[in-house]
Amino acid sequence: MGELTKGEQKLIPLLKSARFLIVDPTSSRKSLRSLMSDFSVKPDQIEVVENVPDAMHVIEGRTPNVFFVEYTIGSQACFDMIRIQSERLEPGSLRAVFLITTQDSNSMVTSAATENVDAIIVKPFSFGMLKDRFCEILFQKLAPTPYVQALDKGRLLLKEEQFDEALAVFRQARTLDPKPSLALALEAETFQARKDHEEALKCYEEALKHNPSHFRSLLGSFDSYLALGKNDEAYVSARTLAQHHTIPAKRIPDMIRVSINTQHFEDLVGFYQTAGDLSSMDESIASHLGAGLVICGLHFLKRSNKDSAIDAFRKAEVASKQNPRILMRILQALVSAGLEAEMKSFMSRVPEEIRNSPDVQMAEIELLKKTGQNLRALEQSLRLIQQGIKVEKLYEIAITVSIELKRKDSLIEDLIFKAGNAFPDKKPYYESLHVKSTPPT
Amino acid sequence: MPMNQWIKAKDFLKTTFEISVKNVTTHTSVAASTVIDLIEVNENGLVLKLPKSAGALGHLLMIRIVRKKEQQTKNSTDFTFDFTGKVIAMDALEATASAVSLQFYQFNENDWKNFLKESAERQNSVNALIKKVQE
Repeated sequence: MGELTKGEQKLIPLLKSARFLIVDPTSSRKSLRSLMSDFSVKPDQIEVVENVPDAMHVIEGRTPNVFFVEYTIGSQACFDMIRIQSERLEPGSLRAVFLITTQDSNSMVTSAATENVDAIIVKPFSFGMLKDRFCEILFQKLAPTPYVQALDKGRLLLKEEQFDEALAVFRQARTLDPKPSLALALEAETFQARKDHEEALKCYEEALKHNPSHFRSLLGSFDSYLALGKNDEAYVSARTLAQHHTIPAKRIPDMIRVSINTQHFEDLVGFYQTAGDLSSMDESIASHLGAGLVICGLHFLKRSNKDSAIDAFRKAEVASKQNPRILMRILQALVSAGLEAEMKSFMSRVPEEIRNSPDVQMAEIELLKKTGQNLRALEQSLRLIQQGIKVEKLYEIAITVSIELKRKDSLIEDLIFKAGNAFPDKKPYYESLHVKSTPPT
Repeated sequence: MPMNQWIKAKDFLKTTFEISVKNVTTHTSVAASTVIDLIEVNENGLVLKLPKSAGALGHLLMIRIVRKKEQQTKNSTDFTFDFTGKVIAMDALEATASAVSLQFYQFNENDWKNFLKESAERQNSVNALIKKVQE
């Protein structure tokens, strides 16, 4: 495609024995092949595949040193392949990962950067841009500075769980850079691996003195504080992280959790509002947000702030896109609080298949009982039993309500018989319900 | 960013390209539903992934590229680039698609320079973000 500069030519002998894999389900392979050809990489050094199973087959066999992967293959698949490549390569051997994508959102880039992607090639790219990035990364890998060399050595020792040796190397590395935040963060990670979070935090603190917004140190100190149960401190670290960086998608559930643990429920409302502006959001994040908003609602209920609770539940319903698990939690909360009108309104919104599910019908029966509507509770319980629904609590309610309504003993005994057949180990309990309620003669 | 937010809408801002293609030589249009991909750019042209039926060597193609910023709720900054290009190379990618190299025939040089500049800036900002996270 073009001539190489003298500097670029230095890469040729270094790449002679490297293995390359291009996972390209769409279109970039032509440009990548031209790039390889410029660096005299032989065709038998390059594998080109179009899908994940074929890529996995190559990675598990002739694990590539240099890996180009198109993001359209799926983020999880990309990150899994990168992890396996890293695990399978011989320690100390060349490893470089290039992710090719049209997507350039900060969220995607940050997530990729935390998954050991070395470079992202943004489409459409110019061949010059592709070559420059390729050379830059490869030179970093093949001719590292003494600081990077020391960090790589320490990482390897850490991976092999030689903690004392890793610590010594990272401490030595500190002296090789005027702002050794990364060396300190890796030292901290070694302490974390030993579950010595107090020492880890000291290293992170030192790293943050050199760079107060150091990504790895803020995220690491968040983890150590959480491990020590220091939620307030973890919250402060996470807040600083969010102020300076994009939170990687897979860590967002942790942020939701720490907001809940520290009772910063307004965070979840703010999260919900921002999420509402986005056309799409990762399903697991949406589900965590929904669950967090339910907890938020429960908190408001505890404080008798009914309106805020209902608002939080409504938001949870929307955020989780009516995830059945979230809907059930909301329903249980409304039942426990005896909020009948709100439950009816909620029930009118939920999809029919969820409304007719045994779990939801059970929740309705519990609410009827709780609000003194025993006859209706009994009718619905008997209907479900007749339908063959087997739930321990259903029989318990049917029996106790029957007793309270003073139904004939023979009918109650028939219910106890059926309950005993459905749950043999609970038979004595069901029998005790009737005995206990029999007035003394 | 308000203090109580873990995520910012701008973090989810991503760039998309809508590309429409008409073959001027054969007077046929490439179906809008076809997956067209903008792969590579250079000073005098670009490389697109197109269906094999989109054209042949020497054909003239009229292309419209609309660059959009998805997830942007306000002040959308769409950018449109129209040009006519000559097919100078076709490389088979798969059974039904080719990487088609086009050389500009009629185009606005300034618009294209801006497009190239913006592509380079996108790459640079991604490089900077990776460095910030990994350093």
